[in-house]
Order: sequence, then structure tokens, then C-alpha cells
Amino acid sequence: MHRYDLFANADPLTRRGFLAGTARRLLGVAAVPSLSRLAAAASAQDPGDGPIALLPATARNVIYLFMRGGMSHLDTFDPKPGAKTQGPVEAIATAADGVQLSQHFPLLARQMHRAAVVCSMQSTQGAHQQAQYLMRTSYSLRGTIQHPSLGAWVNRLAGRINSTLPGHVLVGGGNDMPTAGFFPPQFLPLPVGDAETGLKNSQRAPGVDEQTFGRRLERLQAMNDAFEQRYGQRRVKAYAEVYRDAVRLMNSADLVAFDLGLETGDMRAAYGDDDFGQGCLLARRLVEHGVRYVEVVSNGWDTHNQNFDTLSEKCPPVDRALAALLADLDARGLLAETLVVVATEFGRSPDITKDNNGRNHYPKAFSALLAGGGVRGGVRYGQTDAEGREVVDSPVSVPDLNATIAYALGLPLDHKLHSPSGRPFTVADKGRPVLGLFA
Amino acid sequence: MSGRSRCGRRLGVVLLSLAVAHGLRAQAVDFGTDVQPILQDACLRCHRGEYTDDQGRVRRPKGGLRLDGRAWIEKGGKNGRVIVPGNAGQSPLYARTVLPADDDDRMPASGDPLSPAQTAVLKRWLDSGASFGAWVGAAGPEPVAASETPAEPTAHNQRSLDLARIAAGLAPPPAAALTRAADGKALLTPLWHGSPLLRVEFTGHEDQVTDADVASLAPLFAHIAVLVLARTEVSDAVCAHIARMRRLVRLDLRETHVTDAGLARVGALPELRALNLFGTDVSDGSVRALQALPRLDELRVWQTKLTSGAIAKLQQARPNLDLVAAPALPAAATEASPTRGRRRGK
Repeated sequence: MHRYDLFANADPLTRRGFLAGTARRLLGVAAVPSLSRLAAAASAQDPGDGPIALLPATARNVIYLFMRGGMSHLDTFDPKPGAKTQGPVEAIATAADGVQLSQHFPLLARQMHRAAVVCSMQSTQGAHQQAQYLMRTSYSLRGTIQHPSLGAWVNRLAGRINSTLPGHVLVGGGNDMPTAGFFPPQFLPLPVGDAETGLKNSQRAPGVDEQTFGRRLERLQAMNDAFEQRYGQRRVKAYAEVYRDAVRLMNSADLVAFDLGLETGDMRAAYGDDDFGQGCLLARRLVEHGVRYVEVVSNGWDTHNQNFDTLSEKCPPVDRALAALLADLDARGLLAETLVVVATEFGRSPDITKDNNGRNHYPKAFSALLAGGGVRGGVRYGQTDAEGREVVDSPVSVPDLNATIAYALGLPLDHKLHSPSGRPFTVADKGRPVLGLFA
Repeated sequence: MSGRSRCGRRLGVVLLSLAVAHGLRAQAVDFGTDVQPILQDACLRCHRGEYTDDQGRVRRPKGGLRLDGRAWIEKGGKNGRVIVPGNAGQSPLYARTVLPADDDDRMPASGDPLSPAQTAVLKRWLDSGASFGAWVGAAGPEPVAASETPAEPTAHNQRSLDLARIAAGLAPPPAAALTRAADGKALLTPLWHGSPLLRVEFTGHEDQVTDADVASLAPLFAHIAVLVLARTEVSDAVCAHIARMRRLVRLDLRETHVTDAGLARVGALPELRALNLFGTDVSDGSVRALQALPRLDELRVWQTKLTSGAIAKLQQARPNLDLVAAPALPAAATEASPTRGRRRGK
């Protein structure tokens, strides 16, 4: 018995340790990577775990907008006017010479001097689940392991900016959305189902005052202490950490970041009175308050049937939200350090199905859009052929896109972290960043 | 009687443990005689130097991993090290041989799995320090040059070169000052790995941050290249400190109490590129201070008191200045735009 107690005392998670740890975190210095990087800076020593990015980051935050279901490239960012594969959708000129968009994006067209379109995306996966998994993790879906999503990687490698807010928020996603994979659960994204309602369960229950809440927490902590000390495993500690994060968040002055009611009616209208638009507005608020990685999901892009009718409804809200987001971020001085990415899991077939006027899955060629965070604006990168069938110039793989995001954030692309079975993984697998996109 | 038998049992236990300890010592693993034969049988078909097999095919070491020489084993493969002396659990050379049979990562990838006796030898060898004894095996890799070729030259690298120039000759920030600063409210990060230049921000508890918190960073002023004071409680007086940050490249004062009086004190910061004044009370009185910044190329003045006349004047004096005074937000939708989900109430 005494032996076990001695052993328990060696565990850092005593109550005093917990308080000290919390205090450190509240003071914003507990982000391990920052401190270790600082130490490395002070001693100018190599960490010995392979070379680390030697270039300064160009981006600080990421807003990742995911068009779930497979967005048609021909009808959005890579139109082929005159081609027989184009269908009825026309191309329009934009603020950037040589960059055309489809007629569905007139507002974004005026902002294209800020954005780069990648027309040469290629995926190896043609089914939704596998392709979405690849987009999020850079790795193929397998039965034996769950890979961490890019947002989890970013927070693991770069740490949080705001110690009281989560580092990774997911707006409008479903249950199949990005996970922490084999990372501890504190790297899970915080889900916000509906931007309008904001963060659920973030207030104390009615009738519970601050003192009572504090007492309850202390009691919980006292009960958990013994458990944590006895079973000081990584997972037990990680779950305790999740609770602490939640309490910190409840008490955070930055909780207002989740409250769209604080925006003017004009601002809300500019982003569009719909889920995706308000989700983008929420993303801007979160980035303003130092949330490092925000993903907003737009559903319903799987246009096997009535592709053209569906897209004429799907595109305008995205056009509006994106145009507002880029202009708003820029005027607030945030676009320079915020990388905005519009992505989807694959494109849609150039051939239009005869019976139902739809387009099918098409991983061979699709488009993505990047803006801010050091990315050059007014650029079209890569090219598909005249009918949008094949990538004919500068192909960009899914891991390449993720490597580009990680590179913008200054993350070490070759830094290995190990799964529980000891297998090494990197932030973007073997992806290479598209350096030509950077200003 | 019972006392004697207990005594005897205890003696037996002692003898047994002595025997076990002795046996273990006798079984200390020798790489050459115990481990190498296992590798030879189970691993080297895939993990040895390039060779031509019976069918005339050239075989290269899988995963870049060679297990046919001491230096190669110590070096590891494309995925990193395979041995961690003293810790078999952390050593893929052992850990991947004991994965469940259906795990993609289990080794050997083809052929029979290692027997429990064989994995036990690997474990003992690694746990006991992974000594190679006198065994050397195939000659090791040539030492490679430390630096890889840099990425293709881009404007981004130009920007990096710019920062490198600013950092040139600057010693690393004093460790004591860093430690003290880390106990305060600031989050400090080097601009890149090993950089003496720092990014300093206070995100997360802005309402507690005052001029004194910035003043306390004085020993690090020469190292601060990015300073984010957004939404903090700093006053005009903080600008006197900022004026001493001669390597400052980015300054974010958005939504602070800083006014013309403060900006006047910043002076001609020689390296300042980007200045964010969004949501401050800065007015036309700051035009001179802004023009005095020699390298300013990004300026944000939305929701300030600068008049359109002054903004036009600034832009005219600096045609290349990226100056934004208000966002070009899309006009509110006129016709009923196609929407989904719940609508806001009246």
C-alpha cells in the first residue's frame, strides 16, 4: 500500500499540480510546442527528430470550407466555355486576368485578385467516405488505424493560440467528420451543429451559481484524483484534460466569439442568411479570437441527379459567403495571416448523364481554392484539358494540398509522430507543398 | 512444524530467484550469435543492400531499411529509427513483430511470423541496451551533407530572405528573459525553428493586458518581429516601448485605445511592413506618422476616424501601399436568395 502511494505521489497530476498546470495554461504558456520551440530558439539546437521547416510561417490560422459530396469542377472553378462537356453553365471573367469562374460566382469573381484556384487536383479515391477521409487525413482509410485529421495535426504541432478556446472547431459537420485519430481526445474538433445557436451547453445550468459549480468541480476533481493517480494512463489523463478544457471554455471571456448575435444585421446579411453563410461569419469571429483551425461544411454537392438545377441553388450562398469572408477578413487585417481553403473530396464527371442530367463521381480532376495566409492572389494553378477530363499541367495530389496548408503554417512536414503500434506518420503523408502558390 | 515448513518454503523461494537471476545472466543476449540469425532468416530477404535475386530482379531494401549492418540498423529506414536501446516497446524492430496477425504493419510482411522464442530474444536484446558486441556487418552509409537543396526560388523565399536579413547577427533571445516572459501573459513563439526573431501575442486574456505587460518584455525588444496587441487594454504609452522594437515587421493594434498621440511616438520603425489599426480612434492626425514608416506596405484603417480625404492622400503618396479602409462586402440579397435551414426571427 505504501509502495503504491509513493508511486502515486510521483504522478504529476496531483491537485496542486493540476492548479499549477491550469494557471500556466490560463497564462497562455502551456502550448508545449511553443515552449519547446522557444527552448530550441534559445539554445539554437536541433531537436534531433529530423529536419524542421526552416521557413517562417505565412499563415497563422486556417478556415477550411468543405463542399461535401463532390463539387463539380466544370460548373464552379474550372469552366470550359464551348466544350460539349460544359452543359448550360457559362463562364464569367473575374478581377484576375486569365481566371474565369462559372456564372454562379459573380460576387467571388470580384474578389479573385485575392485568391488562387488550383485546377489540377487529383484524388485516388472515388467513393465519398474514402475520398473524404483522404482529404482530411492525407492517408487511405484502413481498418487497422485511424489517422488524425489535418486540424488535429495543426493543433498538435503548432499548439493553441488562445488557451481558453478550443484550437479546432467544426461547424455544420456530421458524425463522420474529422477525428483526432490516434491523437489524444483533446485534439478532437469542437462541433458546432448550427452557427446560429452557437455553442450548446456552455452556460451553467439554471439555479447553479458560481460557488456551487466550483464546489461540484472540486468534488469531481477529488474523486478523479484518486482514479487518475492509480490509472495514470495517457487516455485517462486526456479525458480529464477534455473536462478541464470545457470548464476553461465556460469561464472564458472569449465565449462571445461563438455569439453571432453580436454582429450587426448588415454584416449578417452580407454573409448570407443561411447555414453556410452564418458558419463563415462564425469562422471569422473564431479566428479573430485566436482559434487556429475552423472547418465549415456545406452539404449536398453529390449531384448525380439534376446537376444543373441543384448547383444553381447550391452555389449562390457559397459565392456570397466566400466573397464576404475574404473582404471582411482583409479589411480587419486578418487575411494576411489566415489561409482560407475551399475543398471537396472529388470532382464530377465531364460527361453529363443522359437520363437524369447529372454528373457522377470524378476523382481524376477537380478544383480547390486558396486565399490569404501568404498565398498569391489572382492565380490559376495547374490545368485540365479542353473538356475538363484530365489534368494536363502541374497535378496536385490530396496530400500535396494538405502539405501546402501545413507549409503555410510553418509546420515541419517531415516531423514524425508515432501511432500506438509504433508506426510513424507525418502531417501530410508524402505530400509536397505547392510552392508556386506563395507570394 | 508449520514454522519449519514456512522457513523451508522461504528458502526455496530465495534459491529459486537466485537460480532465475543466474539463469538470466547466463542468457545475456549476444547480437552475433542470438539476434543476427533471426534477422538473417526472417528479415534480410527484404531488408538488405541492393541485390539481384534468382529471377534476375533487382531488389532494393524495402522502406529504405537495411538490417545487414550495424550502422544501417542504427540509422533506421524511411520511417525513422527501428531500435530504441533499452526500450523494446518503442523499437519497431521488435514492436512490429508482435502486432496482431491482421495488422497491416506486422513484420515480417510475408513468410512465417517469428516464434515467441525469437521475439523474446529481440525483446531481451533491445531492453538490455541493444549492444552489437563485436559485430559490424555490412559497411555503413556514406555521411550525407547536412543541408538539403532549398526549395525552388519563389517570392516566398524572398520574404524569408528578407526576414533572415533582419535576423542576421542577432544572438538568440536571452534564456532568462524568455523564461520570465513565459511566466507572464504573453505567448512567445520564434518565427521559425531556431530563429532569434519572436512573435509575441496575448490572445486569450486581452482584458488583463496593459502597458506594463509590454514594458516587462524590454530585454526581448530587439527580438520582437511580430507584436499582436489586438483587443488589449494598452494605451498610447505603449507606443514608446514599441518604438524601441527596431526589428518589428508586423504590428497589430486592432481594437485598442491607441490614438494619434500614440502613433506619433512610434517613430520611423525601420522594418515595419504591416500595421493594423482596425477599430481604433486613429484619425487624420496620424497621416504624418504613417508616412514616416519607410517600409510600410500593408495598412488597415477600417472603422477608424481617418477621413476619406486623408486616406486618398496616403494612397497617393504611397501608390504601392496595400491600404484598405473598408471591405467591399456583397450587398444584401435583393431577390429571395435560395436558402436552407432555419431563418432568423423577425
